[in-house]
Amino acid sequence: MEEQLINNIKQGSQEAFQQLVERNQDRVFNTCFGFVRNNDDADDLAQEVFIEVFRSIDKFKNDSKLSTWIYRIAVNKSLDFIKKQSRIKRWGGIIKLSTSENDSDENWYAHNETPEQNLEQQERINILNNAIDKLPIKQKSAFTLHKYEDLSYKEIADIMKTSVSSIESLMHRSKKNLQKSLEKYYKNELY
Amino acid sequence: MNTQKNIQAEIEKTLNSLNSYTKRKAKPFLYTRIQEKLGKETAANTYNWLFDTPILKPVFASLIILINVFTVWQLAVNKENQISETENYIESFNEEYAFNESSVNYFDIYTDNTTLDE
Repeated sequence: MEEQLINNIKQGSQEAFQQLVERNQDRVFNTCFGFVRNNDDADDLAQEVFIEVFRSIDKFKNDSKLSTWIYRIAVNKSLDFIKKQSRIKRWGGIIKLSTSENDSDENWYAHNETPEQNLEQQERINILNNAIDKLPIKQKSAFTLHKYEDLSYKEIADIMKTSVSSIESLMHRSKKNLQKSLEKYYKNELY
Repeated sequence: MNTQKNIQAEIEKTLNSLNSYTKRKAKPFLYTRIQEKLGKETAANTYNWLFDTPILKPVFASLIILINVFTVWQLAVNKENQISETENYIESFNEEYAFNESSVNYFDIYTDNTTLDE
């Protein structure tokens, strides 16, 4: 079924491409959002991801799942975007990497019982996102895919073309680094 | 001791804050926007055999330089012709109105107090 879809896209079928987009658009958008945390940027990236998929479909070998390949493109595009943004930021552009404060729409977190709880939750997510941004790229990628896309270590390993044990190690180190970073933050902020 | 405990509790809560994250959904009409973008890029990347053929690029550049050189040369030649033409005009004008030495200068006649032959 998936093979048929790929073949149809390779032959230039627009319907097949539309089907592929509709099947994968939410996971691509959510993955990109996990990295850039801004709706508009995530939307632009999702478009770029599918354009890349359309152009490179001939290069796709059936050695991995189509969704894994699409995830890989989404991660690479998102990381490229972040790199570009930080370069602009370094040169004085007024660009925000962590834009969660502007993205306070309802899907950002699960609803709590009271507005205060929601606000507190939002604040915690912002703090955590700032700490995630300081992680090395591989740790950040593994952590983001696991937390935002809820992917298993095996799936992340396939996307990042590495072994499950490497992902386990990356996740362990990322949690350790986040702990350190958050500890530093709370020591400064609270006491 | 209590401080460290509080910090650890905060860290735990913050690390778990993403557990309640609700996955985002793509904005509507994503496919339409992709199609539009693809269309634009295809139009922008349409191959123009006249300007995009690599071998023709130096030919075009040389042609433009040649046209420029020819135009400058033409302007210089025209200027020379124009100067000599202007000189001819002045000369014929002088001849026509007898502005040369042999001609009578009527104005001098009056200023020198010379009288005209009767």
